[in-house]
Amino acid sequence: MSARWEGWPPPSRPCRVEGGIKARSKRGAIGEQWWSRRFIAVLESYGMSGRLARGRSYARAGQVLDFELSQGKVTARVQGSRVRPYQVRIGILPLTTAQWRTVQERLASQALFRAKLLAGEMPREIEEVFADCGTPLFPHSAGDLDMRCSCPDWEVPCKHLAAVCYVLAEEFDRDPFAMLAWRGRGRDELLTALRAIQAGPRARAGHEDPPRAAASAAGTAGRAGLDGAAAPLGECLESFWSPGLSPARLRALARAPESATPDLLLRMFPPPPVQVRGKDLADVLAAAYQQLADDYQGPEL
Amino acid sequence: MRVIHGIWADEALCLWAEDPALPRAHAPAPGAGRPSRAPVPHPFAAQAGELADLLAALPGSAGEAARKAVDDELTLHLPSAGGGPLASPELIRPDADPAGPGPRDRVSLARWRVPVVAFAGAAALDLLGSVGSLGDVAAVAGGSLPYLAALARFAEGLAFRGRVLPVLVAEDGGYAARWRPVLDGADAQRARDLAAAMPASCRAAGPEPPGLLLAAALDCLTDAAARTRLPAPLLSARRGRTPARLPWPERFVVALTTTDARLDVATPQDEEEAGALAAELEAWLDAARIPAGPVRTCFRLAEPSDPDGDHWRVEFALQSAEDPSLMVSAADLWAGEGATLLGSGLAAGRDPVEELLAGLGAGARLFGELEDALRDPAPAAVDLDTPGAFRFLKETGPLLAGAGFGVLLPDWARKARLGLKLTTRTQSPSGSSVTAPKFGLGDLVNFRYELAVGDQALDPDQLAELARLKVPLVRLRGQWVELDEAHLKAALRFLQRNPPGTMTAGEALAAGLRAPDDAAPLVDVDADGWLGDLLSGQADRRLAPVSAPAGFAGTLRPYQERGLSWLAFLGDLGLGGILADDMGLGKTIQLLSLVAAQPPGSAPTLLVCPMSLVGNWQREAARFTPNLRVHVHHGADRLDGDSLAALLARGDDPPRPPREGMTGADLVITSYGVATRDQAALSALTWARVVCDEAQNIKNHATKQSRAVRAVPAAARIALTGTPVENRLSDLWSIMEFTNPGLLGPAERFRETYAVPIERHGSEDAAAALKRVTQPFVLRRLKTDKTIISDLPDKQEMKVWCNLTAEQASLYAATVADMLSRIEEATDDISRRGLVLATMAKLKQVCNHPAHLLGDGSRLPGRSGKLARLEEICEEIVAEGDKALCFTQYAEFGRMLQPHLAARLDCPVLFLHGGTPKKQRDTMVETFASLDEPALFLLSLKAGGTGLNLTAASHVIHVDRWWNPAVEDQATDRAFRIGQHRNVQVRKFVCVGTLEERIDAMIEEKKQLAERIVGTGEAWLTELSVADLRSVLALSPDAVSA
Repeated sequence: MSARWEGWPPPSRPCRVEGGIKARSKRGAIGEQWWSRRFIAVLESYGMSGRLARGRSYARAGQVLDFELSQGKVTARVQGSRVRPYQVRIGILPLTTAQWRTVQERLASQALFRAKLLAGEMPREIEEVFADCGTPLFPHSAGDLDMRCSCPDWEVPCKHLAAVCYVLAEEFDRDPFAMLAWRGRGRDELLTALRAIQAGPRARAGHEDPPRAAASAAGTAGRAGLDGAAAPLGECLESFWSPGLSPARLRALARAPESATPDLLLRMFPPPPVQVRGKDLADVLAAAYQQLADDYQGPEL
Repeated sequence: MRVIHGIWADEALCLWAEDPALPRAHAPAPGAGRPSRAPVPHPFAAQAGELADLLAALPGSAGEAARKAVDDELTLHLPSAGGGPLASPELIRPDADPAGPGPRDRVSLARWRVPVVAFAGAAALDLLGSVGSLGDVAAVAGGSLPYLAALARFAEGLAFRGRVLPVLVAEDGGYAARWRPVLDGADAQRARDLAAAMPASCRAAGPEPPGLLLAAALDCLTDAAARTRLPAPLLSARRGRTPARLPWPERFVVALTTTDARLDVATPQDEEEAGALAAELEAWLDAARIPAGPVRTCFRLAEPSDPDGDHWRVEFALQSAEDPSLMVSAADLWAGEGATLLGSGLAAGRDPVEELLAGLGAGARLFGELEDALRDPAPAAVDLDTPGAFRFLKETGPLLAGAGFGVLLPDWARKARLGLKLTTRTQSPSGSSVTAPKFGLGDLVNFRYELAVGDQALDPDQLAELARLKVPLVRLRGQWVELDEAHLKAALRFLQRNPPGTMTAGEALAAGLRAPDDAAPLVDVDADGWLGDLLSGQADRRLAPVSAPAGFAGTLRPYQERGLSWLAFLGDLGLGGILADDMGLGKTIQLLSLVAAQPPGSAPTLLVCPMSLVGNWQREAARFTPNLRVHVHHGADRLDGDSLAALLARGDDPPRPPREGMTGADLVITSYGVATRDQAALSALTWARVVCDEAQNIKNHATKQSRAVRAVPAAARIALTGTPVENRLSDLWSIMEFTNPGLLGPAERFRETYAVPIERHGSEDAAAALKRVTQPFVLRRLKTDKTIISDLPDKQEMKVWCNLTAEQASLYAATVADMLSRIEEATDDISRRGLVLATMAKLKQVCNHPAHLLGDGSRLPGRSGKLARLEEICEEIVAEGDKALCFTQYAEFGRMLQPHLAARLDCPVLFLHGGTPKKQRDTMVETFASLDEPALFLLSLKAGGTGLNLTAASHVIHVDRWWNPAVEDQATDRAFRIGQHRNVQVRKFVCVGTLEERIDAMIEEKKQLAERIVGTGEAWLTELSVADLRSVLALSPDAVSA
C-alpha cells in the first residue's frame, strides 16, 4: 500500500501478529450476509475510504488480537505499529428491559424468528420488530455508535476501529445471535425468555432454567467427528495387519445410496457471489455436478 | 508369492511388498555390538523396482499407472521380534515353519526402512480398483489393500453423488483447485466407521491418528475421482484473444477439470486475488460442513381427513436419526410433551423445540410454503392444496430427504398406480394344465384390457372425466391415486386401439409379462388355465407334482417333485427356466430326474458345467440314473465333432447294451471351456435341451463361453444356479438371455428400463415390473422356507466329487510308482507299514493341493480340483449368508487355505489348529458365534474334534478324510447338536479315481465291515498285499478333468 499520507501520524508498519483473528474474506467487501452488510454500511457512511481500506487489511492480516462482545459494547485489542496493542471499544445503546420484553413478545409471536435465527440466519422481518419498539436493530449513523481507540489518531473511525468493525461483521455473519447479544440479550438468555413465553404463564412461574447448552458446537465439529484418538500403534500388535471389519463389511460401508439431486449441496449452500466470465459461479458449477452424476452406476459390488 | 501392502503417506498411495524368498532377518554383521539406533532396511521387503515391474503386469490402467509410478522409501513401525520384523499372516514361506514369534520372543514395534512405489491421485484410484486382480500377477493382497480399496470406492461415491465442493488451497508455494468431500449425516458415520476399522498397518508410517489419515486419503481420492468424471472443461473456449492475465475465478474453474490442479502465483497481485478467492471458497466449505445431530426434523405428508376434501397437511416432527421409528410430533413438542421419548437422542441441554425450529428454519430454504407456516407462534404443519401436495410428493419431499431431513409419505404414494389390467380366458372349458391333454403357445384365448388401480378395474368414462379436470391426485374408491396425465391419456388411447378379442397364448404370455406401452404400466393380470399358472409365478405349487420316473434310483422330496413338474411344464411349452434353489436342495437330482423322465427316442441333453464339476455330474448320474447313457465330452482325447455325431447316432458309447430306437447317449456332459472350443461341433447336433450348471459362469453375456452356450440350438434351455440371481441385474439379464432369448429385450434397453431405475433410484415400480417378467421363469426355493424345512432331514450328508488337475495327477502317479518300487525292498513289517502310511499321507496331500505335498509356498489358485470346488461351495455359502465349519486333518493345509480363502471370500475366515492357545481358541469360538455375517471356520480335525460348541454353523465341510466315520461324525456334531434347529448340510470331499474314492466306496458299501476294519483309522491299509495296494492306490484315467 503506497498511500501518499498527509499529516500525522507518519506512515508506519504495524507489528506482525501471529494467531490474531484474521478476516476470512480476502478481497472486496467484508460481510456476506445482508445483516452484516447493513452494519458495515454505517461504517462506510463516514466516507473515509482510505482508513477503511487500511482497516480491512488490518482485519485480513490478523491485527485484531481478540475481542469480547457483551451487552452494549465490544472491546478489542488491535496490534498497531507500537509494541503495546491499542484498546478499542465500540459501544451501542442496549435495549432497556422494557424494550426487550416487547421485542421478545413480538419474536415469540411467530416461530419464524427463532427458526431462522437457529438456522444461522437473521430473519428480515426482525428489523420491523425493533423499529416498532422505537429502537432500530442497526445503527443508522455514526452517532449511534460510540467508538473509541487508544491510538494517537484523532480521526474516528481510525483503522483500528475499522478493523474491529470488519471482524465483528464476520462474527455476525457466522452467528446472527451475536448482533442481538450486543444489543443486550445473549443467545441463551434470549432463547430462555422465548421458551418461557412459549410455555405460557402456567410454566413461567417457577420455571427452571434448563442446563446451559454445551458450548457452541461451532468450530469444534472437526471433520465429521473424525478427530477421535485411537489406540497407540504399540497396542495393536495382535491384529496389526487386518482391518477391524471384514472386506464385505468394508465394501458395504463404502457403498452409499444414489442421490436423486446431485446438485443438492449447491442448492443448500449457495456458493460465494463470484463471477466467472460474466456468469455466476453457481451456474458454472451446476453443470459440473450434473456431469459428476451422469451415468453413475453405483459402486460395483 | 509376494504379499503387497498399502499405506497412505505424503498424499500418495504407497505400496510395498514382502518377499517370501528373502531371509527373515539380516545376518548379524560381524563384530557388531549393540544394534544401531537408526532404522535399517527391512530384510524381506521387495525392491521398489521389482514391485513396480510386478504391478506393471496388471491389466488396464492400473498396469499403466505402475509403469509411471515413483520409487520411494518409507520408515515403517512394524511388529518385530528376535531382531527381525514379523511377517504378515498372508506371507507363506517355503519352509512351512509356522509364522509368528516363538513363545519366548517379545514382540515390540521397531522401525524398518521399506522401499515403496508411490501413486498419487488418479493412479491411486486405478491401483486400488485392481486389488482384486493381484492374483493375476502372482501376488497376494495384505489386509490393508482391501481396506484402502474400500476408501477409494467411498471417495468415488462421494464425488459421483455430488457430495463435494470445490476449493482453492495453498499448495507447493502456489495454489491448487481441489474438490473436497463434504461428509454429513450418514456419510460422516460411514467415515467414522471406516476410520475405526483402519488396520494398524496403515498407520505404520507416522503418528497421525486414523481419522486424520482417512481424511487426508479421502481428500486426495475424492479430488481424483471428481476429475475422472469431468474430462471436459466447464467453460467454453474463449473467443478472440485470451488476455495475458486471466481473472482468478476463471483460472480456478479451469483447473477444476484439468489433470494438473496447480495454479502458479506470479505477482503480489496474484497472491492477493488468489488468497481472497481461496478464503471465500473455504468459508463456503465450512458452512456446508455442518455436523449432523442425533435428531432431525421430519416432514410427514398427511392426506385430507375428509374424503372429499382438498386439505392436505405436511406435519412436522422430531425424529431420532439412529432409530427413525422414534418420533415426536411438533404438536406434542409445543405442548411440552414427548421430548423424553427421544431419550438420549437429544444432546444434554438441547431444547427439543429449538431443535425442531432450527430444522424448520433450514428447511424453509428448500420448501417455500414453510415460511408462511412459520408465521404461527407454534407451527405444527403446513397446509397444502392438492396441487401443492402433488408437488411435495414429487419435488419438495425428495429434495428435503436428500438434504438430510426425515420425509414420510403415505403408503399409497409409491404403490397405487393407475395402469392397465389384462384379463384372459381360455376358450375350452378351463381345467388344470395337467389334466388338459395338450396345450401350447398356439392355443387361442379371449382377452380384454381395462384401466385399474392396483387390482381394481375402473370405469373409463369416469377416468376420462378426471383426465379432463387435470387434477394430479384423485380419490378413487376410497384411495388416493397419482393421476399422471400423460399415463392416463396413453392408457385411454391404448384401450381405444385394443378392444377385447382373441389372441394366441404365446401373445398373451408376452402381453402379460410386459406393459404394452411405456406410458401405461401394466398393474394386474388375471389369466386362467395354464397361462394363469405360468404368469402367477407359482406354477410349481399349482401344477400337480410329478413323481420320480421309473429310471430314477432314489426318492424325490415333495418340493423336488414340484421342481421336476415345473421343469417339465416349461419344457413342454418350449420355454426355458432358471432353477435357482438354495445349495443343498438337490438341483442336480431334479435335473437328472427330468432327463430320466423323457420319453424314449428323445434327443440327448447337453449339460455344460465348470470343469471342476464334470466328475461330480458323472458320479451323481451313475448313482441316481444308472440307466441313462452318459457321455463325458471332455479332456484332450475327447471325440471330434464327427465322431461325437456318430456316437450319438449309433449308440455304441457305453458298455451297456443300447436300447431299441434310442440315440447313443441321453446325457452329454461337457465343461464351459470345451463347449466354447467345440461350439461349432456341438451346434451341429440336435439337443433336447441345453443345461448350464453353475450358471453364474455365463453372467457376463459378452464372454466367449456365454456366446458359445447361447449359440447351441436346443428345444429348451435350463440354467442351474445357487447364487441368488435377482440381486445382480446384469447377471440376471445374461442368464435369461440364455434360457429365454430376447425375453428381457436388448441389454441396453434392459439397463434403461430396469437396472438403472432399480439399482440407482430404488424404483419399486421397475422392480415389480421386472419381477412380473421373470417370475414365471425362475424357481427359487430357500432352505429356510417353512415348507422346505419340513421336507428336509436335520442333517443332510452329501459327497462332493472332485477331479485332479494334470499336475496333481502326475504327482499322484509318481508317488504311487515310487512306493511300489520301494515296498519290495522293505525288509520288515515296521518299515513296510511306515512306507504305506507315509504314502497314504502324501497321496492325500496331493489330492488336497500340489503345494500341500511340496510345501514350497507356491501359488494356490488353479492347481487343485478340490480347492476349486471348495472355493465355489464356500462362495455359495457366503452368498446365502451362512456360516460353515471346514475340517482338514492337516494344520499346514489349513494355514495355506486361511489367507487364500479370506482374500477370495470377502468374509472372516478363522483358523484353529492344535497349536492355538486355549485363550485364543475361546475367543475364536466366541467370535464365530457372535459374528452377524457369513464366516468360515477352518479347523484341523484333531483340534476341532473335542470340546468346542460351534452351532452357529449350518454347513460342515470335510476337505480331506480321516477314513474314520466316528471321528468325522464327532467333528460334524460340533455344528449339529441337540438344540440346534437349523438344518445342517455336511459335505465330504472325494477326489474321483483316487484312493479317496476307493476307500469311500469301501466305507459306503460295507458299512458294517468298514466300521470294524476302518474304525481304528488307516492302519488296516498297511495289511494289504502289494496287489491290493496297487488297486486301491492306483490312479484311474477318469481322475483328471483337463
